[in-house]
Amino acid sequence: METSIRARIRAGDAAAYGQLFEEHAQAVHRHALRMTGEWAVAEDVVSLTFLEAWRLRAKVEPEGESLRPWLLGIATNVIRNTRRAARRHQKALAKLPPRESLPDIAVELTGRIADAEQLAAAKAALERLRPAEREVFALCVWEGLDHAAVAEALGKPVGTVRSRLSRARARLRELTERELAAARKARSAERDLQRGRAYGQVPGDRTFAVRPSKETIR
Amino acid sequence: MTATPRPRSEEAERAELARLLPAAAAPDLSPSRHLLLKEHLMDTVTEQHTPAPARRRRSLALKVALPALVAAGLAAVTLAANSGPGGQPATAGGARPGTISTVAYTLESTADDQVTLTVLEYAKTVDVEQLQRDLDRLGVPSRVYAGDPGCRAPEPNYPDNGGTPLEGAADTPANRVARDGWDMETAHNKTVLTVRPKAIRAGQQLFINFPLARTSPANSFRNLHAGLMTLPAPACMAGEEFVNPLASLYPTPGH
Repeated sequence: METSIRARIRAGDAAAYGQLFEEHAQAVHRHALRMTGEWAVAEDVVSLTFLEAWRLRAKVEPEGESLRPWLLGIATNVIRNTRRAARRHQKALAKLPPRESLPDIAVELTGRIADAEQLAAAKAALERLRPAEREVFALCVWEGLDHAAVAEALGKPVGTVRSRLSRARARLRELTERELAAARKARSAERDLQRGRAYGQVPGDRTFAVRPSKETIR
Repeated sequence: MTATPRPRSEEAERAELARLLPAAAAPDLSPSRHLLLKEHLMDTVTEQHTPAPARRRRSLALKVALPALVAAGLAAVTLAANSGPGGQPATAGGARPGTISTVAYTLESTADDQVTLTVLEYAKTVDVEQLQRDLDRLGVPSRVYAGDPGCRAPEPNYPDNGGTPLEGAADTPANRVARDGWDMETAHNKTVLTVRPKAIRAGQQLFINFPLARTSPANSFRNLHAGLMTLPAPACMAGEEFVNPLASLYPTPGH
């Protein structure tokens, strides 16, 4: 099926383009949201990605599986350089429907606040990585693309994707270790303090003895 | 941990990586928003598709912005000036094909009647007057502007040269230069502005505007605009404030 949609996209078939949007807009939006952490930006990235996809439709490979890696690759470029993409599609963007104002339903609002907190946390974590590693991480881990698909999306050899991933892993591990060590140190300092003050059996002491000492990776 | 890590499956690696960072919730686009965006895109696409492919191209090309690259890495823009074998009538010193290089850009005139401007570095100051002299010397009818934020002159007319679509020809920079007399293309961090002076019609001029030249001289080559305009040329062109669009996303560019 995908081969035929590729051919139709290449031929400039608007219906096929609509189908492409139906199938992948959410994935593009998700990726954009995770990379930028901002709703408004993510929506613009979706529009720009599909405008770019239409502009670049002749470059779609005639053979292949899902077009999702291709679209996510375009989205990655758009995120890297939103302003340039926006200039290229200035006219189309000018006609974009106005952004949603604040959601009016309270339930949705609270839902969004929770989402926003989680997004902010993930984005902060992602910022520990270098830009090139972030992209690979988000595509591979959060979007679930395999190495070959990530390579296709980014236009890089598979080996590069692998090495970026392993660098990302090493870096995250190191950071995690460091944080754990810091936490451990803080805790033992606290314990020493307690021991120094108290003699004999103290009520708070036991919980420390009993608490499992196994460290878990967040 | 074992001392010698064994090759692991992609799946296992992904699972480990996923544990190392908090899960990223990414709520979906709401259905109404999804529909709105889709409708808008479909309108744009069908509109672009049917009436005038040439006009669409023009609007894309008119204001090509140099990428405000996050890593202010090098990028090269080449402006190639054409002065054919017969050549343009030489002004002082002669307009023979040649190469003019500064730190930030290369201006080159090639044998096939084209002038190419290649920007080598975006984060540089521009000597507008020097570039203007160089372009004049290479026979390019042009006007170079340092964007003025207080500019009140009306925008010039951007001609749509007949709007002939590229019949059968591929939409490549070379074909666009052949049709329009100029093209600007950014690929792989490199921006090349190509001009064929002979193809620029009487009453028209190439303009190059550096909107950040005054507001943020150190970033002069970013957001460069170029295109054709109908004479008379305006006395000034608009400037912009420099904003790093991704400052929040990539706070520290260097790595």
